[in-house]
Amino acid sequence: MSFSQGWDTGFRVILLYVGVVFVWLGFIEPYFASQSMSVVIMNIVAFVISAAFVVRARSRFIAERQQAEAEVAALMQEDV
Amino acid sequence: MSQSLSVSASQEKGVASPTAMSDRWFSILLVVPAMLVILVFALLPLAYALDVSFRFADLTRGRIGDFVGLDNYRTVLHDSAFWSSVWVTLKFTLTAVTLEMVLGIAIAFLIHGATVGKGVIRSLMILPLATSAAVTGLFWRYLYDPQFGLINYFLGLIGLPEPNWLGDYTIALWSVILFDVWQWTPFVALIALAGLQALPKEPFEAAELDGASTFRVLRTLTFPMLKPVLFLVLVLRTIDSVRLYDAVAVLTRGGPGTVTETMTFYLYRTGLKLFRMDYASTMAIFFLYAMLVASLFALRPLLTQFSSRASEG
Repeated sequence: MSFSQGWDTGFRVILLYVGVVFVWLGFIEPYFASQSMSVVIMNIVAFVISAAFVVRARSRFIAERQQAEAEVAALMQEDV
Repeated sequence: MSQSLSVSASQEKGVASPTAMSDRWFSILLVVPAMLVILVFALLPLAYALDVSFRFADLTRGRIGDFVGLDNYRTVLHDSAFWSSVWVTLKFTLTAVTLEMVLGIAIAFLIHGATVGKGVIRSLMILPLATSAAVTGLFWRYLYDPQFGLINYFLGLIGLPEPNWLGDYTIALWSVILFDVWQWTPFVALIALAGLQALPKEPFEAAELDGASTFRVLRTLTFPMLKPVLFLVLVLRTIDSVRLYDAVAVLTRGGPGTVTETMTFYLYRTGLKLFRMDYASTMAIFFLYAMLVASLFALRPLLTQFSSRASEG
């Protein structure tokens, strides 16, 4: 993952994490009896979703890179 | 390239001057003032607002209080007045931007087709944009005045009912929308006109030779070619409408009741009238978050278009 890809993914992960927090506090937390338990579960859920997003982004970037490398290799073979 | 030039210059001299600065450091030095301005006027206030949003900060008690965790976020997210202001903002944005886009594009086509007076009309159209909304808002407040306003005077002359434009809760928001449409339609029209004038003539001449109807030319040539410009205007107007404050502050101050209270005006009232800086900061963070997410989605097609154009070029 290059610096710009990492920066972009990091920014989106922050947005995702904060989004989960807002949705949780607004819609899900009222169903919990204990506020502290709700916060703990909220952070676990937000962390899992963010981690899943990072893994998915990383695999996408690797696939894109492999595709680009394959295209370059094909072009070089054409030249030869 | 500049780096290689500077290297070769220093090599020619034989010994680098002790006071010489590398291109890399010189470029950093050029960026530093702008970075400092952003740091002082954007990032530090943002960090402070974030800090306050996690504290108890009732300024009537004289100081920023203790850490309260996510309590302010809970309060704001369950505040019906806040959601009502969000709804007002959405209604305003959707209506005003739609009207501005439709009228602006129509006016641009009219001016584009005009044979005389284009320059004068263009100059006149800049006038509402050249004046701040705080000033023009005051003019409009007098125009809307139910007793002495010019609008009601003319309505009375032709025997129509004379409504209380800013005091009637059923039409107050429409009055603010009308003011915004008056002020910002010329902006859309001017940008669309510039886009129209920049279109290449050859495809249109070919379509004319093929006998294509006006509607078909509009649908298959004009609008697809104008799309990037129109999309940019749409994004700019939407962002500007969502953070509407000045028109509401001058015309209605959020009233009657709270029917014209937009998100930014509610934020201002909470922070600087009720002195609850904690709730105001929390709303500001929420507002910033919503804008970031919206801009991420809104700008994606535009960025894709730019990158595909760049790769084609």
